[in-house]
Amino acid sequence: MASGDTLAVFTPLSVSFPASNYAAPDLRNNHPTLDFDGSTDEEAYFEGVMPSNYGGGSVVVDIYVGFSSATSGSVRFQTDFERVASGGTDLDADSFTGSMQSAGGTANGTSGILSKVSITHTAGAQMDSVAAGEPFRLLVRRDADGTSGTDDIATDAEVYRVVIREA
Amino acid sequence: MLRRDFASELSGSRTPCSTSKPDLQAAVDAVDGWLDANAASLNAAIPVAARTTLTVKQKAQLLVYVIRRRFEVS
Repeated sequence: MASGDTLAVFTPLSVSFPASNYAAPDLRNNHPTLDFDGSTDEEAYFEGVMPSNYGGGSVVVDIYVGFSSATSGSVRFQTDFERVASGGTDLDADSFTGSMQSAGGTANGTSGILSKVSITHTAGAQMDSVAAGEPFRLLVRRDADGTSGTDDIATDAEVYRVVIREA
Repeated sequence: MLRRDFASELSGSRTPCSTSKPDLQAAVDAVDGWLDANAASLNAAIPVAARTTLTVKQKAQLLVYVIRRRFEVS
């Protein structure tokens, strides 16, 4: 595949959750969304399979985010990969890389208009070495306490789509 | 905690608010401090009959009721 080609598309309806501090499912004008709190780091998981024609290079995770109340300010998201290869990962324990990649975005002047946060993972360790045709899990976290950068929006960030594309 | 609860309520109702976390926390602290500084004044404003029979907690509840009614957000 070539740079910019889409590898995976996730909606809020294909989410799974950690045991605690998870993003809350919600609806906005009948659009399913995941609400990420403004004070506590919250997470959501998306399970997928890397397409067989994935070229093996770096990828970008695009997070399409709206805001419940904010019309200005900065938000911060983090992502991580967990390879679920045949004969590999034991599903009874999480196996993410533990090395989150992160990026920020800004709220649109209209809360219902989406912004895009793009997070790059270089091929290899940052992707838990997910290869073409292999199952994986993607972790999406709002870094609400601003560990990796500025997140000064006090209210919810709403995630509507997560797209993985070739860098 | 109070800032988080307030922000959650705004989020739940999708009430527009772009006040940043630090500014919102400063507002919470300022209102809290103002209440401390003006508690005696509030108590004195309550007519003596009620002032001497209502508990401190009941007076606080009364304040919440009055403020909620005055600034009710739909």
